[in-house]
Amino acid sequence: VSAPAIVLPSRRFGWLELIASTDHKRIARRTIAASLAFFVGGGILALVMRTELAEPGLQVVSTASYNALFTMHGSTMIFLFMTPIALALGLYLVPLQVGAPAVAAPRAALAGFVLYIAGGLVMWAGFLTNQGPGRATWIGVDPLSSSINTPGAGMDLWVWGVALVHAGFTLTGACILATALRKRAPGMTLLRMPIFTWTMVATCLMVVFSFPVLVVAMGLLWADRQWGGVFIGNDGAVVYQHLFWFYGHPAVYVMFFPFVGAVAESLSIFSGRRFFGYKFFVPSVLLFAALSTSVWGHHMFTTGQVSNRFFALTSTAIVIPAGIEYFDLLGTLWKGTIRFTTPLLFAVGFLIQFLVGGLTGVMVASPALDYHLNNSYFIVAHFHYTLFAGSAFGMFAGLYLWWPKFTGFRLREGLGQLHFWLLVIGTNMTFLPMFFLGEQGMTRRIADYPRSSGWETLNFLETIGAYVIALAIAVFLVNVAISMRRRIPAGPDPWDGQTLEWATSSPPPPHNFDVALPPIRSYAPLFDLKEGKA
Amino acid sequence: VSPTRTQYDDVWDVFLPIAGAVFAIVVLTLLFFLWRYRLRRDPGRQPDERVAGTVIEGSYVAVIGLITAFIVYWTLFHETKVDAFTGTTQAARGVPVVDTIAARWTWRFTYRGTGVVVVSPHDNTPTALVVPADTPVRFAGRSQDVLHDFWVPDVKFQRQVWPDHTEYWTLSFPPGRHLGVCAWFCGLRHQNMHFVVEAVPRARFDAWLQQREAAR
Repeated sequence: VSAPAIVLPSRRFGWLELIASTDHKRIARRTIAASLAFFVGGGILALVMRTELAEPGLQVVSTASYNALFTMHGSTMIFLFMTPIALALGLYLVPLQVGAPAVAAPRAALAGFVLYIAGGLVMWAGFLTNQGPGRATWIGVDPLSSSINTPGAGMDLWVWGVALVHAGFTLTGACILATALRKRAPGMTLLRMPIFTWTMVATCLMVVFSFPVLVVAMGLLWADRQWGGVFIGNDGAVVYQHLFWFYGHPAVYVMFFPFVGAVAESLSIFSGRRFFGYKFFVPSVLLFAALSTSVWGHHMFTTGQVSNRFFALTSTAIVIPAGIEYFDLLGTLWKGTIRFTTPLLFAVGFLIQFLVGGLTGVMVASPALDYHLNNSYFIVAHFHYTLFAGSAFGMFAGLYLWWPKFTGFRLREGLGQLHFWLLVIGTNMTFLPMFFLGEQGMTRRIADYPRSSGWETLNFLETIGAYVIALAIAVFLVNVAISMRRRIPAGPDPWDGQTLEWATSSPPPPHNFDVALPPIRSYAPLFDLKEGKA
Repeated sequence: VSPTRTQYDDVWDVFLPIAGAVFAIVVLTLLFFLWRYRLRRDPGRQPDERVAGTVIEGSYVAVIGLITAFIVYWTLFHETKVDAFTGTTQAARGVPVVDTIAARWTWRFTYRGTGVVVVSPHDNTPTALVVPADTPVRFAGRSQDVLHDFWVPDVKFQRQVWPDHTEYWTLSFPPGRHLGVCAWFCGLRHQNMHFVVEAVPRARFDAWLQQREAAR
């Protein structure tokens, strides 16, 4: 039996193409590469922090350095890793999934990428300044971030970095949204859009709604640092928090939905059946996005300046759309034919671990509990379970699922499974003890804790866990390197996919589809084709 | 007794079992599906073709809605109680009002109407606040520089303070020593910004306050 002729993608590489290509797939691949680089950078900062916290006393860094470390860790992971990689998945896949030859407004998408890289470099350039980079927490709260309390160019660079990347993300989000709404192939009605595309629509609605607010807030913060007089008076510090969290809570779901979409696609592909409950899932995602814009006050329960009842109500109501999503994700496995591939494992890891983050989220949405748990390590555990144990696992499900499509080569299954199990162990070792420490009164953002507190054992365990996470990520990087050195061509459809991106070559040609699109009669057109229903 | 702590426990003791039950149901269902429907079990099987179960999913949404309604009710019921207590404005007779000043990186407490001030004697020694145990104590909090956050983990309560604004809250402490910390990151020595609440019997508190007043 002779192997089918395989055309390997060209390795030609032009500088002009690198900086000026308006192909959404190239922009998205570069964004993914850059965000993974920032992920490694932010992870190294976390390792230094965990090393410092391994035992009481200051051994590794000064408190000043520690403050820069956690500020830049949070800023990097949220602004420069999770958000851009979430949007990049959409930028790559939404045009393909709706059968479009290109993204809408490709030059705006390119501008979005340029702003993201520029902002990221500007923010990290703070490490080169005398007084260090931003060190007023990832939310940059005024008056701590004012020029009196945090002087120096590094903090200004942080402000500019945040403003630039979010201006860029707003453009990227608008391009993806416009693609899904206006560039769909004939037959691709709104209710035939794949689940992942729907999660991106909800994501981008939140991006265009809330990200400009952060850009404006950063402009105001910069003006305050230059001339003062912006966040002043008896509610200055509260106004800043309102502006930030008005962006900040939708942003949390921006870093969540695309990965729910990736998990949904993984589950339906590896369960060998169509996604279950599409007509519940789609409205639930939109309801989720709508609610996301009215929950920000739960970050401010302890100010005594917001209507805690209103925000407790809206925040708890999130349970309903989230519950629908879990039902449909589980329903997709029901009576399926389940194949245990790496993307499926990461999807399952997402389902179990995100649930811990979600259920503890219900707890901190209750003011009587939040009055105690806010600003403690309980919150740190809660959002690392949502963003790392949840979203990052969903991200890896998506990366393993679509890597063959992005690059044309397969990642190794064995290394993928090793990566998964190491990451499960490391993640839970690192973040589970934080719930107990926080409940006992350990405050977040501290470089040191008293020896008398009895928190040494759990902190030491967390530090070991952090190194296990680092090992897991190293396995992933090795997997990537091996897949590039010893290539196993993937072919157009390595997993038995259901949506249009699997109908074209891997990677797809510049205009996306060389072949005629299959008829689109449902949200799983390739499944229709294989079932003979098309 | 501490009403803030009681309310916290009342919510926690209900939410934790609910969360545990939901977690167990979801994870067991998931693991069962993974085991029961794995392809290797019977490779020739075709997957089920049903893609929706409107009745079952609709009923499920109704159940989720009811659980959510209960959670909201339980949350608001206890939040109302906590806020009613911590927001007690007109202190009953003899309730001390403590003017609380947070400044990087220390706490300073003034007993209103007496001129008695307690400060941190030197770096790394927390300010010692003496209060009568098991009775309401009213705080009037301000910050001199940045955002700080008054948190006493033992009574499960924190409240932010910031410049140019006075924030009021009322707490009651069980007898004994309770560590207090600044919960909002406030710069270089944030982790050392501690205070200690010493809740003593009313008579001892009155004697202590009189003695301190006389010593002025």
